[in-house]
Amino acid sequence: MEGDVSKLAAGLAIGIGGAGPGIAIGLGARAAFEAIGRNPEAEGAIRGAMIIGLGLAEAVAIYAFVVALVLALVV
Amino acid sequence: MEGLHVSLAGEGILEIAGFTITNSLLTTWIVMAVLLILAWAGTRNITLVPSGLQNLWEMILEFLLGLCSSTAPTYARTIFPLFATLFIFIVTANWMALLPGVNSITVQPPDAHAALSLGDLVPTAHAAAPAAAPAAAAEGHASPIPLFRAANADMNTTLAMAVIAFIMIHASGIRIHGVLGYAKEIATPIFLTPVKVVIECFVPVSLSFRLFGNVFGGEMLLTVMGFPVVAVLFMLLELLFGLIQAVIFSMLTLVFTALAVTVPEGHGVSDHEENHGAEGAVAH
Repeated sequence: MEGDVSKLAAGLAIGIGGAGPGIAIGLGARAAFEAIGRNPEAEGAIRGAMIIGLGLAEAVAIYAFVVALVLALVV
Repeated sequence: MEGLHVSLAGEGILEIAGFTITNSLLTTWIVMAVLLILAWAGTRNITLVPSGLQNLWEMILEFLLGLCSSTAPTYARTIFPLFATLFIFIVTANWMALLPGVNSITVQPPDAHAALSLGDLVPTAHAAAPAAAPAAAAEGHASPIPLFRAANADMNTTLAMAVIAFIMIHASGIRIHGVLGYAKEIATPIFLTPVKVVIECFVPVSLSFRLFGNVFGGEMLLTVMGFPVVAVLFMLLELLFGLIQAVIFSMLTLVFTALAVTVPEGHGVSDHEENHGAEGAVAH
């Protein structure tokens, strides 16, 4: 029974934990694309900053993923 | 899922004088050896007009130095060595983890306890889940373990690099500001000091978890998506992610170091720059 609960918790962790970063990545990429559309010459700089920002947002999903893995495999 | 070999930590494949050599450590050594050989071959006879491997190294290093000096103009050449090392090591390790043979060549563990004793930081799946295979481990024929494991798919590797980055960030802050100056820098709005300390202490945690999670997650993704055409697409994605994670890890180290050494406006910038110039002349 305990194993079942931790499996459920793992699924919820990555499911809920992935939603926030998903929204964040969408907003970040949208802002970057709008900026490129407004100022196409700055594409290189914007792309670099966007990748860093998206990586930071993605990290939250990665934390959720690690927690889910620990819940599913270890606990 | 049956047959899916998943372990959060590296697994011991060899034991030398009480030290367990894990499969991720072995891969780390191979990555280091490859980098050393490439660096040696690239700088063996340096010519003014570069060609071949020297050209490649110069291209990589010039790109990284450009990145470095656009982020931290004054201290670019001080920060550069660690920044470039982190980037080159992580990207090589990530890409070498995609080579065939990694995770697919398996060996029998030397004894069942080697894998069990590693669970200090992150327990292995079958170490902490007694229900998984207790009988097999006790009888000594544990399931075969992969000979090579992505270097960054082990928290030990990423945490070690993150701790080095952490020390680098604060050591350079202390070197530029002095101990008291740096302490004052952290305690500037005095009521925010605890928050600032917690944030600083979380930097290595977040750096190491990000890299570990990405590489490990990518590895699991490739394992699960093992169909011919789909796997190629995900492999391409992993190539990109390996590069991006290397950029993020080293860029964050660079940015935090640049922040730590930045002298606030109106606090005698030129004075500090002169001091650093003198230091730099001595150091180089």
